Amino acid sequence: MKEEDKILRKVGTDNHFTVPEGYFENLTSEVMNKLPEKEKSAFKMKEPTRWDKVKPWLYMAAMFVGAALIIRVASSDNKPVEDKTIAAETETTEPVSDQYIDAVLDHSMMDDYSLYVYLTDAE
Amino acid sequence: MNSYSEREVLALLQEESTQKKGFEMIVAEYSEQLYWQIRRMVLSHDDANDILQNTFIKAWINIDYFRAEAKLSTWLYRIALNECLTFLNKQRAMNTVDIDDPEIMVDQKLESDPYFSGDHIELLLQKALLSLPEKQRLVFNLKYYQEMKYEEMSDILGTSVGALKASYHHAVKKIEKFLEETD
Repeated sequence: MKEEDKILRKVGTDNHFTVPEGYFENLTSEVMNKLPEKEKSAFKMKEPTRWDKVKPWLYMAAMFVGAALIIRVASSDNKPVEDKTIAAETETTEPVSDQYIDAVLDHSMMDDYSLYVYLTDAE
Repeated sequence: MNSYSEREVLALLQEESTQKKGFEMIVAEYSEQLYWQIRRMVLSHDDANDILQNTFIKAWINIDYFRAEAKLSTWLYRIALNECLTFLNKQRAMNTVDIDDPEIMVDQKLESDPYFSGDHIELLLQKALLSLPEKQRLVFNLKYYQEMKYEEMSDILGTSVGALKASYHHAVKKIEKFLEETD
């Protein structure tokens, strides 16, 4: 038993609304005549241009070039610092002649054993 | 007349040159069933005709945005029933007729309407329907007169199947009570 049975028995489903004669026969043409004109169909997909197709690849290439440049600049920034440090270190080491070393050793009054210990860090 | 095929109509809609032909097939297929649903909501033929025309104009303007995820009928019903609710709200706001008073509505809109041939019990049913909230009335009309499935109704109205079943149940109980008390 359907829940609306009581109403169905009492009233039924007959349609008591009516329409003017010929209304439905002319309805489609009447509706179609009242439709506004459309400028263009968006339903149809817009054909992509060559530029539209190339654009993403171009953007990706530009991104890689940019990244490569950044890496290059960053790494070249470090190199001179290292070079300068080395240069600075080398600048402090002046060439010393053997005669000068002999003179210094004479003045320091170091014997051969002390010199050996000094040079080799032997205990 | 050619039989209606939704797939064929959708194919016609995709080409600008055949779009109008496809739309004409839609109008021919759905105008009558949409008209009756609208008519049951607004009662007067002239109002129903205006709303139906507006429904198809809106559908035509927005046909490019229709995606085949939903059925065309679901989409059209949604537009039509929204148009109905908008119309009723406008009427209410204009305050010319108390559309929430079933007695007044039936007296003014149905008893003098040359396009209504209902007898006493049918007038009572109309009064009972007019005493329902609009959404409940919509649900009752779709289920009772058109035997629409709750799932389809849910797609149209954006309401859960459970809520629609409850809504229909309440509508049936209220109408039964109204008919018992007034008959």
